[in-house]
Amino acid sequence: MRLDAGGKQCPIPVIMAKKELEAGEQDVEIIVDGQTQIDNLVRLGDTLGRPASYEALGDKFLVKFANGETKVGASGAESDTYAVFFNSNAIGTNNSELGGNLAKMAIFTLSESDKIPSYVLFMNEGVKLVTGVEPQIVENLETLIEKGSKVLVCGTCLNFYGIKDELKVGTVSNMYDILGAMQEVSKVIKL
Amino acid sequence: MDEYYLLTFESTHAAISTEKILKPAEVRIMPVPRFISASCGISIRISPDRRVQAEQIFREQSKLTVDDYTYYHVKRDKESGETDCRQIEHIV
Repeated sequence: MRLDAGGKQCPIPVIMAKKELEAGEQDVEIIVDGQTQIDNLVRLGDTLGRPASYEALGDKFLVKFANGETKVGASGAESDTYAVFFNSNAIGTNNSELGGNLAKMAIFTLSESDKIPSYVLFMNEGVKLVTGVEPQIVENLETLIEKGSKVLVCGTCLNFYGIKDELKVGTVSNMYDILGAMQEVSKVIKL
Repeated sequence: MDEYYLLTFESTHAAISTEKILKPAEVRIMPVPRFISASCGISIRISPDRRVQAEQIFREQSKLTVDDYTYYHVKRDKESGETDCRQIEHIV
């Protein structure tokens, strides 16, 4: 089955593919515009046990999912795993200068910790933390990634604030992957 | 070996304002390490190769007095966790 998501913005291509894959369809392929959509679909394929490959198709791309059984609800929560969620570029709302410094120190402290988070998630103004305005945050998140954390950044939010090109660390992501991460771990800490 | 210079402060405002002026020296802020106690929880970490620059900026721009902050030289063995932390002279 070939789906056409040309001209469709995130997360439409993921919704279209997910529906077919979860229904157990085989030979699923989907036409998309660019790299962000491809990356999201590749992650979707990995999550569902249907790895995706892609090729150029004129000025668009064709993403093909491997055949096989689709893993639905595959990821069970391991005990003791956690994710940290930033939905603002500061900890707390009363003074952004103090809050920004607290956020910076929190990320530093996580990067030094023995028990690292499985995920560090950024949404809404939280995405401003990963644009390199604060080089320290980028360095510390890179350390966390080296140690095995995944850093997911809301693409819709980067787009909204017009800072998509300024992302310095982490993976542009979507509501599915960010909520999927929250569902996978045993606790989510909102800072 | 992890080696750095560290400023701790009596007030959070002093820490935040100092971090601002020291930004060109690429200082890093961190919670005050557990082996030191200070009134305020924010400390500023200066890498040895930026020490001269940081101290110069501090001398020229900071309005703090010697009672407002403490200056340390920290050496920490990453493997053993053994830490050598010495208070050093204020920046004058």
